[in-house]
Amino acid sequence: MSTGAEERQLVYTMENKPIVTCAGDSSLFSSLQPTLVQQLPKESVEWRRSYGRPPKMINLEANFISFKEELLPKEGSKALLTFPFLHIFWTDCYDSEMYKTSTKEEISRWQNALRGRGSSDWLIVLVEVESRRKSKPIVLPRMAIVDKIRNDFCNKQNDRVVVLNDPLRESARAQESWQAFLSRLRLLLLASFTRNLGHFEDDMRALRERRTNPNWSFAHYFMVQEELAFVFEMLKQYEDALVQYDELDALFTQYIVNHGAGDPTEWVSSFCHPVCHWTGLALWRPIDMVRRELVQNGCASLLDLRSYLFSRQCTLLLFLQRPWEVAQRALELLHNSVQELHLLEIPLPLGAVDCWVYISCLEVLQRIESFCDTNQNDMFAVYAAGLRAYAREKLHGLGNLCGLMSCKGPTSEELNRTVDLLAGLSNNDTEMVNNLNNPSKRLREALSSTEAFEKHYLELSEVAMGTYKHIGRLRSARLIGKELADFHMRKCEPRKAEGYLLDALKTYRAEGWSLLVSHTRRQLAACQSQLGNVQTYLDTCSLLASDSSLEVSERQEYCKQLLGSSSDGEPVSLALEPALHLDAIRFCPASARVALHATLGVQLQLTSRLPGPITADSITLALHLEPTNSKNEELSMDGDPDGWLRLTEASGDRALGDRQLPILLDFCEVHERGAQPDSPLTTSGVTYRNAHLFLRRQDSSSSPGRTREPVLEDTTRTSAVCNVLLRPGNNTVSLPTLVREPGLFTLRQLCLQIGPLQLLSLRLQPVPQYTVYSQEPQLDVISGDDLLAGVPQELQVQLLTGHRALQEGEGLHLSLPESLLLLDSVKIPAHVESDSNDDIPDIELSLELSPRLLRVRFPAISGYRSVRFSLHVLCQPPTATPPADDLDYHSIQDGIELKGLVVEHRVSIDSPWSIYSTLVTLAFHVPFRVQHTVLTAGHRKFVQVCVRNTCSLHFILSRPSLGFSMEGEDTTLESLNPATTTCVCAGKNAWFLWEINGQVPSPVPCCFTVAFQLGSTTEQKRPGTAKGGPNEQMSDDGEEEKPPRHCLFNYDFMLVQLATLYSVQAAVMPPLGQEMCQMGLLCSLEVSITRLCKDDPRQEGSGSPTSDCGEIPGGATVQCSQLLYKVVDNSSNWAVCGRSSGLVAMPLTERATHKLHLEVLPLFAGYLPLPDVHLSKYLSESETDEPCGESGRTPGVESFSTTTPRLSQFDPGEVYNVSRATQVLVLPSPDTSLVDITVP
Amino acid sequence: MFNVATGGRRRRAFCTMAVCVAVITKENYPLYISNVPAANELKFHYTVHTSLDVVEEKLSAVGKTTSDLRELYLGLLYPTEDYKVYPLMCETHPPSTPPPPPIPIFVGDGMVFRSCPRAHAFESRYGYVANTKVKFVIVIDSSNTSFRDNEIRSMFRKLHTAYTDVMCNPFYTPGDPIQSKTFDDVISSMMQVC
Repeated sequence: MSTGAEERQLVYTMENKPIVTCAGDSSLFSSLQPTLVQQLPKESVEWRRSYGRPPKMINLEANFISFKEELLPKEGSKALLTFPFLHIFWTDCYDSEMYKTSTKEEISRWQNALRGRGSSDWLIVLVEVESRRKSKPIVLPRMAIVDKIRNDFCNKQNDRVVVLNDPLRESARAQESWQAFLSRLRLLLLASFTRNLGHFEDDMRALRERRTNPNWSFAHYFMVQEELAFVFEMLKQYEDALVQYDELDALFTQYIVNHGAGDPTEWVSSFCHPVCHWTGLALWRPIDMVRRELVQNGCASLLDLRSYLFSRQCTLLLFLQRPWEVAQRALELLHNSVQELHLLEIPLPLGAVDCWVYISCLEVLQRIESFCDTNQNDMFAVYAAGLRAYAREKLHGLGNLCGLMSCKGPTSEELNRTVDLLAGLSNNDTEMVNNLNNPSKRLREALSSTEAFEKHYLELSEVAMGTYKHIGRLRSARLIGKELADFHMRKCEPRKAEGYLLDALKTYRAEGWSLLVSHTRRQLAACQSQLGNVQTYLDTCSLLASDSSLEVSERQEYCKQLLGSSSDGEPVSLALEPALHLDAIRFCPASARVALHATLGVQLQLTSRLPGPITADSITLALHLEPTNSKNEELSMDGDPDGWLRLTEASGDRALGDRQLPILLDFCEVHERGAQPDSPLTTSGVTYRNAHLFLRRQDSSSSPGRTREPVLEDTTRTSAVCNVLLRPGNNTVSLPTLVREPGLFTLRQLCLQIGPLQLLSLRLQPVPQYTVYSQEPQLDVISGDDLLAGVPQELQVQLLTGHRALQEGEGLHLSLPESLLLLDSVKIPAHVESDSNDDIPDIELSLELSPRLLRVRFPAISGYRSVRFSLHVLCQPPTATPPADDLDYHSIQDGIELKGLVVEHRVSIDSPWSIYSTLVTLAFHVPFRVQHTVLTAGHRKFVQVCVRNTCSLHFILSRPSLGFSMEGEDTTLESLNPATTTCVCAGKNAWFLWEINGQVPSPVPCCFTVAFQLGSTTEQKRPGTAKGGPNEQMSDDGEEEKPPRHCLFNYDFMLVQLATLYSVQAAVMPPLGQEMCQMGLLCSLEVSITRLCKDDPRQEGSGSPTSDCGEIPGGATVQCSQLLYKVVDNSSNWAVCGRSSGLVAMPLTERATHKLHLEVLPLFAGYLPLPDVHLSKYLSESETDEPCGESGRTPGVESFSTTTPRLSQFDPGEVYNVSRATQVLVLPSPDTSLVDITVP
Repeated sequence: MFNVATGGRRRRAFCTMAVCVAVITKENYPLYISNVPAANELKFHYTVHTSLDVVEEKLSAVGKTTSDLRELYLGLLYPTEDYKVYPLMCETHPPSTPPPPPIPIFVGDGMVFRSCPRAHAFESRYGYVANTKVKFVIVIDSSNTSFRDNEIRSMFRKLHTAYTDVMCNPFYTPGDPIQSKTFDDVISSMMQVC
């Protein structure tokens, strides 16, 4: 080995170059040296290398030093740095004499010296100077000095002599010779390198192969291989140099591993000595000589070796412009070294490794930062982040060890430890001490006091976090944030810690790492507890208490915190989730429709996630009355078969499922065609309609805490239950509510009150809702359209109790009109129904009947029931009177259906729920219409009564009777009716006839009575016993003298009987000579008018005016009364020829007859009714003077009201037409005219 | 050059193969995490969670540089002082055929690079490929130096196959935490003392 001092000097100067010795003419060389040094590296040469390594282009440089014999390597020396790779002999000998005398000698001596040391790399340079040659003519041109030198020294090595022509002059020839010289020089240098390095490597390999030798020294081998590395570095072959160190690294690593794995090597144990210095890496010097020396002497510690090795690697990597690799390797190195320390079980004071790692990290970072702008280098940032985080971690550990993290300050033990650690950091290196940013110095500063530590630690943490964030490693940043939070918590600064914890929590929650969420929440709870923020603390407690991944005891503790918040009495509102979860809601009844004042049951399925049972003071549901026109009606409330309406999970705590698609997707097919109807399909596919739900941004709106804070809803309408015990797991809570308000209600919110703690749910989704409907009690009397008077009728009474339940004994009061008879007994059955189709047994109602008042008593009936019962009533048919005009009579005769008489009865019902009476109008139809007529036959008068059945039932009429209302008349009525009963079918008439015997003072009130009963169409109903109840009733309540089934029908009318004044007899006589009347021949109409009455016709008149006026003219005109006759043939059978009308003066004597003779012409053949002869009273002017006035307008049969001479009609019955309905046969006229016969 | 890897590595014993195995979904929430010793559960959760940073980084880097999606496969070394974390990303549905043999360890000039499992090009016979992007993470104790890369590779292969079996279970809903005894057995075999 060469002398240490020299070597050290060489090593220190980084400008190492391969050594080339120069012998010979030193002055000549000195003149050329600058040019040579400058020119040599200008061109690169290819260096072909052994062992298959790729050739490299290399720019050679050399350190030219003058030749000394001691420079030559001694035998066995392995030093390469001081190895002269080439020896050059310089001479400018131009004179062969001079050559022979001195130069040759010199050269051979030089050669001998070289040969003696086995060096074969040499070169002789002959410098030819033109000027000198000229000054001295060449003696032997052929025997040039070059050739002589070649002859003498270079046998077969002609390339060892180079001629340099006129090197100091600018000429083409000089340039050329320079180039030739330089290329020769480079080639020879390379050849020397190849050979010498090859030898060296061979030796080195051989040395390595001997590593199993017990005496093998790693330190020695290290130095040898490093020598090679130095040479490569010297040759600027940094890659190769790095490889040397990497190999050393790998070898060392492997040995350590093997040693640790139980394969001990002696030299490795030298590294197992206790480490007493942990000053970290030192990278600012290319070669850390202090450590190198330690390595060389074999007394380096593991850390020393690692530090030195890495500093060399770092230097070379920086030469290679790969600073990020330094960072990368640094991290590996640090991890690895720590492992190796463990592996070798090297005793170290606690924290020494942390110091070493911390300093090393910062050193690496500083070194790289000084080398390149780290902020712009993302590649570096990745590693820098790791290094910073690692340094931070170590500083954190140191802070822990030395008690710098607690707010109380270090204990004495910790102080001792600090002193120990500081001792290992002591450094005598003045350069290091002077460096202001020295990591070691910073560490010492940090360890000196709590404040300084805090400053350093926070600074480093911030930078590490920032770097992580910069490169997008948020999770790592969060982890650092959590440790920072931890630090702040130790420092009793919870306010600073909270933010970090919330950030971390947000990240963990977003990714669904439940364990981490729980852990962070626990820290957060501690932090918030210190902060005294009750709201957030309890919030977190609630989350933790319901966190199933925690220990039960711990959860119970948080639960106690949560519930124990009551002690200070401040009301606190928290979210219901996650402590409790409302799973489902069920309404009872399931239809969620209830009547007002009914009870609505709401059942809640509550899942308690709390660890123990809790007692809620109250559980309240906030109700909301929806506006009536809202569309909520359409909301579907699809519960499961049991009626439970499942509510969605409101909490976002299970965020992991957020981005997942539901299992069932509602896909739909999509086809698209062109514009034309038959154009081909352009697209088809499958789309998901709700894709936007999953494609929306996730991070925009989420806040670190819970997503939505529940707000206390309007609690004006609530449904509550008190003192409910909620056990862990599923609970079912029933809230019975009496509904007091109608409308559509939605359940908005669930609120649990536990002491002052209020747990509020979010608005429930989907919206559960129920409807409250309200109904007032309603009473209906259902009667058929055709209630018939006189027949027992059934009245259906329907009572809807509505919201009002009926108490026992409550009832209805019915005021009945007199003519309405109740046929029911004391108890009647009633049928009860409800909306829900429940089977409700029938009930019995009790009736109390006092005169005109019926009390119906009910048993107790609950609300919203429909009660139906029937009442049987009988309406006495009223006494009929003649219709107001004659038309009806005619209509009846013509068979036109007309409504009969209607009797309206008003029943007033008093109900207990209303102060107002209900008025029910019952319209009873009188089943009959009655008309009467007075018929005349000469003097005889008959009363005919027509009873028409106007309803659709059959009736049996019996016992018709007609009598005068007034007694004492001598006039009698003789019945001409059969004694049997008469059946009147629907719409048919029955006729009854009486003859009036005697004169009736006109007018006389008469009464027609007929008994009737329902004549059923079938024979079975005849006996009447079938309808037991009502019929018996009828017998009880009805009139005793009548047969039970019969009812009487009365008809009151005024009988006006007028005496027959005149009889008119007409006859048609055939013309003279004819036996029969013949068409077209004039016939004579003989009319005979006979006065029948004896009395004054005036007195016979029904109206008083006639009698009045009769008195006056009665005295004046005794002879006769004037009549107007008129022959009319309405059917145009006859043509009246001549006067068809005329006045006739009739004497006022009985049997006075007046005969008229008219001529009529029959127009048709056949039996023709005779033409009518009308008689009218003719009143002259004088007669009408007096009677004119109001009296003429009084209601009466006659109507005459004119003042001029006028006609007055006779009342019916006053004129009796004898020949009424007589017919006369008219023969057809013999036709003599032509008959046209058309023959087809 | 000198290959150090040939040295006597196999002598050390008494170490577990893996200390933590995790299966993580595309959405980055854990489907399965198992670790020994169980007491350190929280620490492993943090470790695995933090390693997702690196996984995502690699994933995006791969997406940027590689046009061939099939080459998408993840391998990286995420070392800490205590553990070595080997994440593996499963880009496609696990293939029915076993993955190709592991790529040999790359040994540089004297420096051992712990290479990571490389991408396997998975092909489906029916032309149906779903990007499940499920990630596997295996954590190995750093002191366990006897591990060779292909051992880790084979562990991943085993894990992958086990995961495939889980996915093939018709009663398993993808996205749910894995609760399978068979899977547990495979994992515990991986975490056995070797």
